[in-house]
Amino acid sequence: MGRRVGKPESGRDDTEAPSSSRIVEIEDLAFGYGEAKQPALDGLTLSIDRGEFACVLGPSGCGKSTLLGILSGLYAPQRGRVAVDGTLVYEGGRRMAREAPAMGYVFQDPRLLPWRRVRQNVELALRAAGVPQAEWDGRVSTYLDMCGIGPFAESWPGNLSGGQRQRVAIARALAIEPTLVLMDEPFSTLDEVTARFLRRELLEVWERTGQTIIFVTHSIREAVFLADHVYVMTAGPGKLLERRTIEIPRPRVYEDPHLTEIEAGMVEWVLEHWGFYDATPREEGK
Amino acid sequence: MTSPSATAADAWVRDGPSRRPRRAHRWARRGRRLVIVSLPIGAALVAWSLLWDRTDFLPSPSSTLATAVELLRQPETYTNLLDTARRLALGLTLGFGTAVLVSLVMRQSAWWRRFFTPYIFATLSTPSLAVALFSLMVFGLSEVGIYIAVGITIFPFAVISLIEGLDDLDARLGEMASVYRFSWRQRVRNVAIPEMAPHLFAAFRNVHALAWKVVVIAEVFSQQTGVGYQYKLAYSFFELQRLLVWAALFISMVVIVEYGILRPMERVSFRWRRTEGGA
Repeated sequence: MGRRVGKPESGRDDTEAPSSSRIVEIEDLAFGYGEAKQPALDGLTLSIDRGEFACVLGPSGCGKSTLLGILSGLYAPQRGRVAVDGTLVYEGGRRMAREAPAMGYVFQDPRLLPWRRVRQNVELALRAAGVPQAEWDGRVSTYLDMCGIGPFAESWPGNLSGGQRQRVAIARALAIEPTLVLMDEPFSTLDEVTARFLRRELLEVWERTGQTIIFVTHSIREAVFLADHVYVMTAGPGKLLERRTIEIPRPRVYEDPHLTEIEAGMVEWVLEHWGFYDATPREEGK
Repeated sequence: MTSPSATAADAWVRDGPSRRPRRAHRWARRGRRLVIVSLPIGAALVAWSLLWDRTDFLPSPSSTLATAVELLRQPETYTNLLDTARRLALGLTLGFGTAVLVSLVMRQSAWWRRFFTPYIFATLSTPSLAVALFSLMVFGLSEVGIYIAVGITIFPFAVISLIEGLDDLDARLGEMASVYRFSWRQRVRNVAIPEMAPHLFAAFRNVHALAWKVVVIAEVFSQQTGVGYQYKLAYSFFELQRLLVWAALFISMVVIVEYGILRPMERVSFRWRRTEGGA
């Protein structure tokens, strides 16, 4: 078994935090897609604290994005309990709250409306979130500036680079000042340099806004760099394998050797738990 | 996040290229197009001037021009043109509106698709002259018969284009709209209509050309005003120059709708495409 670096807390999250400090509480969640033989999620239990930067880490197909889909209301679970910010959203697979707390969502691709200018893309989200029109100008300027794209407010998304578009998507998610910001591998389609730059800037924005972010990734390095806690999922059907606390002080540096050390330990550990050693003979064992 | 430096490239991205060279380029392109379009028209006019007196049916260009001037001075000419335009507008609204409703219903389930398919096939394969005569016989010689004839004729073409457009809607944008809780109105106005705009324009352009012809045919059989009625009068008195002038006026109306209404609307709707990243 590989080294354990960081602070592991196996199985479900049983930290001492009182329930009121928890913004997301999930118990025994299960979800399957149509005719698929294996459910995407089965028995997932976890909770996330208010203001936390939580990274959900798992291999492809472990149900990470499905989890975000359920939290955002895109999919209804077949089983389990989901509470967000004290509102019971799902119980026993049934929708309990007509209106769940507002969520910002940053997808893998920016999903901006190319026929609306940058400003309008953000304003549409503000209108849908019921933000009074008098506040739009202030919010748009604040969050576009915060994400470094203030000068591009009147641009068409098609005139922006991939990184700039993703910044607009982040600004849109933050501008509605949601209870939760969900991010589904938002930097995975960008080149490495842009992605590193945006990760650093995302942390700055998070520290300034204090919003809770749930960030889905399959990159261990990214998770270790960004997270307060990394929620490691099983290989599928998805459930929580372990919650690890990353105890590196902020601000962090992506090239920090301590990060590399934690990453290496975690890679070794997940290789074992995600079943890679069962499927592939180890090189040194030959 | 820090602000990017305001370089010339950033300014270009933000504001687009300087307007002056773009405008000059646009006028040069328009000029070239005008010359190309004028060439065949000029050639036809020259051939007409040279050959008209060698036939016993063609009127002279000068007598035709005199008839045109005379017609353009008469207020009734404009009344006739407006009558045809009104019948076209109402028929198009009826046909296109029905097509939008039917295509939305057809998208709901395979059952509805199968239900409407025979209607689409039947209207698609019936000649527009037969549709016009049928409508006039059923609905009488009032204008309602013309609206129905236009509506039935354009309906299948519009439905087919609209269904294609609805099938092409990007589910990912739909998810985004759901997550951000866009209202039904926001979804239609900001997501569905702009996304379907290319199909809507293509459908409208196809059916509007067809609708003009159906209106005129129906007018020939049923009305006492309109371009179709004027064709009938010209034919009755064998006034070929009158027929040619009314044909020219008719073509002008179609061209005005295309270049005065449709193309400017298209330019405004698709201005976001004139960007570096395109669609």
